[in-house]
Amino acid sequence: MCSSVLKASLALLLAFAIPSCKIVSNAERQAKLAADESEADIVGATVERAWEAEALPHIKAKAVPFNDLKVAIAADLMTAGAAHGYRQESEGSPWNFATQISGLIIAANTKSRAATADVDVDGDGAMDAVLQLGPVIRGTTLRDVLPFINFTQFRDQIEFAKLARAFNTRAYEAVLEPLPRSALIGSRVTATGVFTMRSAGDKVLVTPIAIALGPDT
Amino acid sequence: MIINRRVVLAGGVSTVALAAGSPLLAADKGLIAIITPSHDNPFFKAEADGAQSRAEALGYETLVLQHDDDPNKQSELFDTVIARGAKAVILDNAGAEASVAPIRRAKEAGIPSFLIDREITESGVAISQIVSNNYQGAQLGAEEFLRQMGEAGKYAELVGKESDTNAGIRSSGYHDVIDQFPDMEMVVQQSANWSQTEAFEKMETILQANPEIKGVISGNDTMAMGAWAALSAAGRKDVIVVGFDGSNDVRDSILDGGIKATVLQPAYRQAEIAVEQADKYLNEGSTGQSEKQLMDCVLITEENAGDLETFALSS
Repeated sequence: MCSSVLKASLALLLAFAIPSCKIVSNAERQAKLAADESEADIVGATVERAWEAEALPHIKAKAVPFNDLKVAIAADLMTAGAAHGYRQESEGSPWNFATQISGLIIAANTKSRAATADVDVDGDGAMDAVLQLGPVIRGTTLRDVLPFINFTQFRDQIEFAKLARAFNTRAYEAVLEPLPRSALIGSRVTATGVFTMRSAGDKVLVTPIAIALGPDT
Repeated sequence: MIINRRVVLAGGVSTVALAAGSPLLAADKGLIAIITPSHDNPFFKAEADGAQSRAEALGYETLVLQHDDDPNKQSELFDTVIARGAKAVILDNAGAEASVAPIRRAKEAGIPSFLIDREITESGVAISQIVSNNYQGAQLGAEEFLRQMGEAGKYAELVGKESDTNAGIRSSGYHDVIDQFPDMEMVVQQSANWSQTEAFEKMETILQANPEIKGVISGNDTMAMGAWAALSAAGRKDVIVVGFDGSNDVRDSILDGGIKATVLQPAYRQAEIAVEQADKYLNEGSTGQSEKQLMDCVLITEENAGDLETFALSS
């Protein structure tokens, strides 16, 4: 009885301690006592709290029209990143961008569990960006594009990786799973999403947080 | 005119002499201790070399020590470092849980620690924890492994030392990618504790029980080398092996058509950065960085293996 109340209050404390981006060392020590089950809670609580309230508004606010971003990145990735992107400060970190894409789906791979659609944005008939459709979503961009998510807040790389997976799962369940897949090729598509660039020549692999088929709106 | 020139020249010479002398004076900046696992693994040797040369270039004395992945030995080494009054410790630790106590002991003695390669389970004890982005790197390795395997077939996984977070995170990065492919079947998963000899022995046994395996994915390069040696000895050079680290040994094997791929951790640069952050912290009281920092990894295949030398890519 006593210990379950304690556990519940610890979980509550944790749920508030992490979102505020400041871990009180006491809370952290107590988190250890609560062991592995609370570890999943930290990840779950962070996604639950941050997805609707912070992540989606942040990505939508930062999203730059893809053609503008493409021109800026082609000119200079560092300048484009500093102006429109985000990355953690460590040396060699790639840039993460948020973007709005409107274009024509010219190819799609829906057989793979990591399904994708190739989008021609500028109308030249060639692929400019690849939209990830899941259920397997590659990369950790949804986590890494958010400046208020910091590795130091998490116990270790394993927990930090779980957070990235949880964000990917959330994006899939919220927007990608309901997307009809039967007639992708030849459809117009509008999407807001994120992608990571290590060097200017990289393929643009977009994780969508909003997507719609049909004429541009 | 000629006399003037000589005067200028003489002045130049004496300036050079002064400049050459200054690093010796700067060695008064104190002692930096560099503690890593055994240098038998070239990865740790490269780390120690990177840290040592950067520290000496910045004007510190260095004390290079090896804990051999023994937490008790590591604890004793910290006692030595505290007794020697080191200014800072650069550490690749001997266990995520077990290392917290000695690092805290050093902290309480006024000696900050700067961690490389491996994390500890607490934040706020070390000043920096700079680790490779093992999850990102493992996914790169897994994707290449899948490509080489044709996305189908039986395979074995060699896992690293359990007390090291890196063993778990790499395995989880591999499986987050590979397990999405229903035709990939893991027939055996064993720890070889990062060790080449242990991997050799484990691979011999695995091969006897599972002669049908088509691939081996390994948590590091020394285990990949051990596995490859066992496979070669058994006449099974058809087996696809992928490692992790980016060692010169695996580079040579890749160029020789042996091991198929590895994932480079920028170990040498990582150690240099830790020293630079230690120097900044000692001078300014802050590194200006978050405590925990990730450095991205790079896939190494026959395409770029030729550019790899001592855990760094020349571009």
